[in-house]
Amino acid sequence: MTIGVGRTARARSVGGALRRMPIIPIFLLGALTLAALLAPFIAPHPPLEVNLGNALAPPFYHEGGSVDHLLGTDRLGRDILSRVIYGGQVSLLLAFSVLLIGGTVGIVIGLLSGYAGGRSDSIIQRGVEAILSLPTIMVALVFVFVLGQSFASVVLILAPFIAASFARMVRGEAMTIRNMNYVALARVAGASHTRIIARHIMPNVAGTIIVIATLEVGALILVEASLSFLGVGVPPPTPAWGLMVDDGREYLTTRYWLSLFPGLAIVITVLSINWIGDWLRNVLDPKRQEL
Amino acid sequence: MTQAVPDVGRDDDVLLQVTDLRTQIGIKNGVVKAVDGVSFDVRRGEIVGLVGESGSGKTMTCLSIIRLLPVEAARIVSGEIWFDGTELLSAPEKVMRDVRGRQIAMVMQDALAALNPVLTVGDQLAEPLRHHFGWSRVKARDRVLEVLEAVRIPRPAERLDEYPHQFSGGMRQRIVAAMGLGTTPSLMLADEPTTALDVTIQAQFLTLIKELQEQTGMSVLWVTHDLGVVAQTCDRVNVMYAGRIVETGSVRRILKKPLHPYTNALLESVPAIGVKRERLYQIAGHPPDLANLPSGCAFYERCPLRMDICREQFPPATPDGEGGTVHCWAVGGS
Amino acid sequence: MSVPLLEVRDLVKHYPLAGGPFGGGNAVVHAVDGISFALEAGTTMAVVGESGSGKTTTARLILLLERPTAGSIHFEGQDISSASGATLRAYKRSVQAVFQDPYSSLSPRMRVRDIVGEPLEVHEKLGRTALRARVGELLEQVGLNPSAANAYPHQFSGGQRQRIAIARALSLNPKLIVLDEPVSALDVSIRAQILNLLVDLQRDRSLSYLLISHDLAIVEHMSHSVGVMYAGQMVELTSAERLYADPRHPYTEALMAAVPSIDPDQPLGLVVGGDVANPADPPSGCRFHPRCPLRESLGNPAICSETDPALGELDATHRVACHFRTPTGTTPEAAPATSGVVSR
Repeated sequence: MTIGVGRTARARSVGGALRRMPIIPIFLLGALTLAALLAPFIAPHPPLEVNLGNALAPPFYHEGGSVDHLLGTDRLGRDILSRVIYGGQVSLLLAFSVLLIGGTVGIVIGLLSGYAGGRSDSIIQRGVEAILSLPTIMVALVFVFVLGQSFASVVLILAPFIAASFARMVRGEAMTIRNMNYVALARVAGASHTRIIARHIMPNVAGTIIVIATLEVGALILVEASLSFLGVGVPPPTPAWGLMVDDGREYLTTRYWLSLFPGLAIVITVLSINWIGDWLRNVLDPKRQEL
Repeated sequence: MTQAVPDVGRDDDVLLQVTDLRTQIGIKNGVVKAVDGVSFDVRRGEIVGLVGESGSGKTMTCLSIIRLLPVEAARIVSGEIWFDGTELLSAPEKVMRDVRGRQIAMVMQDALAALNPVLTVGDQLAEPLRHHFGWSRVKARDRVLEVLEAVRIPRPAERLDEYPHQFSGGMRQRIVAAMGLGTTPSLMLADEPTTALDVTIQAQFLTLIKELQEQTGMSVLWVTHDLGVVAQTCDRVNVMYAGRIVETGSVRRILKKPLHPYTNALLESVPAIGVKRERLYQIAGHPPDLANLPSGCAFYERCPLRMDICREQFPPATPDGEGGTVHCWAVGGS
Repeated sequence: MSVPLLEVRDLVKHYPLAGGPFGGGNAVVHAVDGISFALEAGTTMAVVGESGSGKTTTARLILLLERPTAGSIHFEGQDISSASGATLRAYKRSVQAVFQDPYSSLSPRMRVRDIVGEPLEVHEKLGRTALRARVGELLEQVGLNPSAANAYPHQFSGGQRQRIAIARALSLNPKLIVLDEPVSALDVSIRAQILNLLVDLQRDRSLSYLLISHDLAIVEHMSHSVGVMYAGQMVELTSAERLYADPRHPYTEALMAAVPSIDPDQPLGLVVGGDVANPADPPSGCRFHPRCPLRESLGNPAICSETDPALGELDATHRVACHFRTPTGTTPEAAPATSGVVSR
């Protein structure tokens, strides 16, 4: 294909991709994130406020419900809507903390491993593979029993898994890029290893990193929910979506709203994130640059 | 606008006749006119060259003939392709499946991509024979050995059970040619078959194809950008630029007395051994933007002989006096 | 007599081949197997060969992208084969490269300005304005508009990208540029532009080029001296004029004969059979012997398959590695080659 085609087609395909932006997921995710951030201002009730007299009240659209508690109350009379909103804080905070710590470590390891190659790369990869082969939730269970249940311990146990994931992907890309002509030419020009990694490898890996990060956030939220559902996540009474779903387990057929709304929150968040992640991957894929 | 079909008797002598072929690829907000009104023919027993650079439309023309367009967005918009009495563009897929691989063989540039790495060479060569003719294993194997010998693979009986990666690049290319030859096709479409080969291996391959062509009488449509290859193999040549044919003629006439400014420029700019030049002739400008082709001649921007009319109207065919044509306002055609 | 700009002595590069699952890991790829040549300042030396010849590895060795297994590389009289630190930096300033593929030679996420300016950033401490000015100058010198500096590589055609690569190579005012198939990946109609540019730059800046190519016509057009490589060895070494007027090695003859002429009345010369030698398992003795038409016409003398011919001197400026084509050869030359395929 001639260049002319490439140039114009490319401009159009990027524009087209931007036009096909998944508006709804972005809007939903944005709304949820905003709600979580502004929780103290928009939640109608304090999330920990117990009111046994009004326990298990149904949502406003049922008989017996009121607009005071739009989504009803749980066993201890706490407002479900407020807890869902605050729960978003926990989930998102957890996800981003883990991503930050684990991601940074993983990216650095992946870059160094992929760039260096050879023996050190093999050794590091064995470690990474070992971590990846462990079943996340089971290990988390054990770890939390040992270290005690807290926000920090959950972050600490999940970080290595994320790090391994990033290390794996980034290393693969780094290895491919390392063999590119432009890296060879940078060496010919006398660039130092640091410079090559920072200016040539990192920017070309950035796209992949963003996509993995987006998708991992979704996975992390699910893991957190699973952990708290199993009782080893963030400790009660902090509102966490998984915990709330677990709370409502006995009432699934009678008072479904205890589990449904936090469950919906999980589903909407994770689906939106995945949708956006897929779209990002399409937009950032350099192969789309050539027609 | 239709290009004039080259002046040949419409008779049994013509194996393939392409008339006003147009193939387009849909892109955002527009189309790429990859093949924009191409007409030419291939007679029985002759080797016809289709010469052009990347983006000229030569590969898309080939793929359009056998209706194996590479992307969903590509469509053949109009035209007629008569092959041995059958019109191909309107033929049902069942007929095309019979034509492809049996009557028309294809040899592409990258032999490794054409060969399945997990099947032995013998199996792959036998497949079209068993599929098209329903032959038994034994009968197919005999023919496969014959064909491997014809393409000069040494010790074919032993190598039949080897895998593609165990052969060198040159041999793989010959195996791909052998795959096409098994069914004694009447036409071979060769799309840059030697571009990726070393020059000594390319020479072997060129010699081989010429010999095979003489022995079997098949026709070959040879797509390439290499004028040397054209000189050594083809009888007649069509020169393509920006999806259109700009000049046709016998190989001798085109290479020794090129009429179209593009053909001439190409010949002048290619360095040749033994021809001493201080400075190579350079064609100004860059290749055309296929998504935004002008209504006139696409070579206008780069042409040393351009005139106003060239920008507006694509020139009609002017005969060259020897059975070929040229599409240029500056060369006759007024 | 002045010291040559670049001199290579008995350069060897072997790559270990990974052994099979049951050991046997002694196999070695003889990518470059003892080559020597010299390049005079201000000239273009071409290294010609097909796949497996070792020409690309030679280029990488000279660029110090790989370290030689044996032998030495001398630049301006100094041995730089094991250079490090300041010597290495000085060498990098003097020797740059342009590679074959214009698409993978430019980092897709860097602006042209940063790509062309990178060597300057590494070696000199220029302020931003000064750097931009230099980049603008360089772009003009290669025939591009200085405004190209702000753009990204994907906005340019193959030929333009190669110009960007050349601008970058020129940025440190090197003495030698290694050109690895500089136009092979470009459209035919663009090649002339780039070749003319390279020749002009050489004349204007007294540059030296090491041209790696398989295209004999381009080599003839641009080069002053030529070395022909086959299976890791240099089989003929002489001036370009001499090589094309009087090729002596049977492989050189085969190469020349194989190039299809655009004159339809000039058919292909003798077409040599067989495959290009495998550097991981080269033939014994002379590596070209299984395919050599000369050997066949001489009745397959044993020496060809037993002894590896050294690059002997035909005269002061022409060296050939063949038992029968150097003055020390024992048999008179065979009958001239005829067309047709040599059977094996």
